[in-house]
Amino acid sequence: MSENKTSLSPAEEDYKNNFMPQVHRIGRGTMTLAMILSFLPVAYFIIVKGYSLPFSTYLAGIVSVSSIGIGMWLSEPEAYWPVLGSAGTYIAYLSGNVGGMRFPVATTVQKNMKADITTPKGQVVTIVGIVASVVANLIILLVIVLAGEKILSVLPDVVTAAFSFVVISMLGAMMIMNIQGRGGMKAVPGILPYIAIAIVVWIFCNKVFANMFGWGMAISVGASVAFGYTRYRSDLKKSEAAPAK
Amino acid sequence: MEAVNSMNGTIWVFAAILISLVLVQSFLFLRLALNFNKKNNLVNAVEMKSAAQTGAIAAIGPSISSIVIALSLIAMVGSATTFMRCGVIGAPGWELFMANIAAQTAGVEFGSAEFTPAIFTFCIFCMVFGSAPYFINTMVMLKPLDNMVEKAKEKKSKVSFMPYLSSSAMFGLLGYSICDYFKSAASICAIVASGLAYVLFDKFAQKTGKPIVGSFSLAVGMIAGMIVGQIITMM
Repeated sequence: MSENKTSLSPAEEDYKNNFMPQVHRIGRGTMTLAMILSFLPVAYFIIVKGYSLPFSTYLAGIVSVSSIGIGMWLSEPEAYWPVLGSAGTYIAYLSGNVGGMRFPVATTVQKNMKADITTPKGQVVTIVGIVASVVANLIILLVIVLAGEKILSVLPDVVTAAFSFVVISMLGAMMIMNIQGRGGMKAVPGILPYIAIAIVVWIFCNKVFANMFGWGMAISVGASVAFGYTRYRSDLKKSEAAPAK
Repeated sequence: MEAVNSMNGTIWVFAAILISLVLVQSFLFLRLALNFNKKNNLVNAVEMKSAAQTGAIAAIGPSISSIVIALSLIAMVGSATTFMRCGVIGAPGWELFMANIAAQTAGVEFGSAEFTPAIFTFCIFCMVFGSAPYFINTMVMLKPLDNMVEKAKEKKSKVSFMPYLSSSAMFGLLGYSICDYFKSAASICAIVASGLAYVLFDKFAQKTGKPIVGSFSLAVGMIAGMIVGQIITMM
């Protein structure tokens, strides 16, 4: 190996040797526990209460849920991971609402704090921000569950109908947020190819081969990153060819 | 609803256990991040407070947006199951989807007399099973991914791959998600309106010089998009 290694700063050294292994210890431990605990109510009702159905019904349920979920199960966390980081992904997949909440929260925090997720600082602020969103979400959800019908009866129909634009509006604002964070208008030409790739992949996975929809998001991210990598290689070559300053 | 009502109380107990796990995990990660920060002085107290505020405020819009789906879920599976599934692991839309699949598989309608405790248990099983494989995925995959990034960081070169990775992944993800929610011409107007409102509010927030104002930008964009999208639909 003739590869040169950069000397890491103490913070980066600590990040790599202590922080990251800890993240995975906590993450793997809590996810194992979650796996067991989430099936607990089902086990209780079947074994203790005897609310059982024939095994064949359960098998049919497993098959239909799997056929829809499998693509997402295998690929979705990897699509969000470059934005959420590992700790963020563990928290997001335990607390839920990944695309609709943890993803925009992580993006907003990183932009406001001007910290990328690949840096130690970015990891710290993202964890703090996502944890705050977990608490806020639980409180709001509890209010909705307990008083939801009253809230809904007070809201006029026009307002509840407008909720159907919530997600697309959020994504639109996030798109602008990210363009701004990467240099504004002059970054647009560099960004367009990634968006074009995403659109092509979406059409391919939803219209041409509709049964591919579960894989689409990961394919889109994968293809964009692959394209980003070829760009990186060519920029690297250019910078190496240029005389050193 | 009889089965749902009779089991609702018991399910609250399980919901409380799972919510506790979510809070414990959050606490463990938070403690890790704070200790790490204390040792290395990366983020000062003001920035830390601002990160927490940003996270909490940015969660408000999306939390409230799920109210309509959450309520239809309550009508089907009761308040405890809705809280358990939407507060932990799942998201309202996905859980609604899973619950429907379960009922379809069992050949039963929600709220009907055939919706027995056994069917309801099966329904909860399908919702749990719909998200459980994600746990295995994260347990297996995230560590190798991090090792890969650390290796890439060690390579000494003039240009770092990291900005390329974050840009390409972000826009691949955003572009795809927008296509997913793209329904009509009103969607375009909603995107444009939310983007514009975001830019304007963000400029205003920077003028005030208070980061707390900036954390409302996303919510302002969302509200603008909702209003314009709805107006266009009604025209």
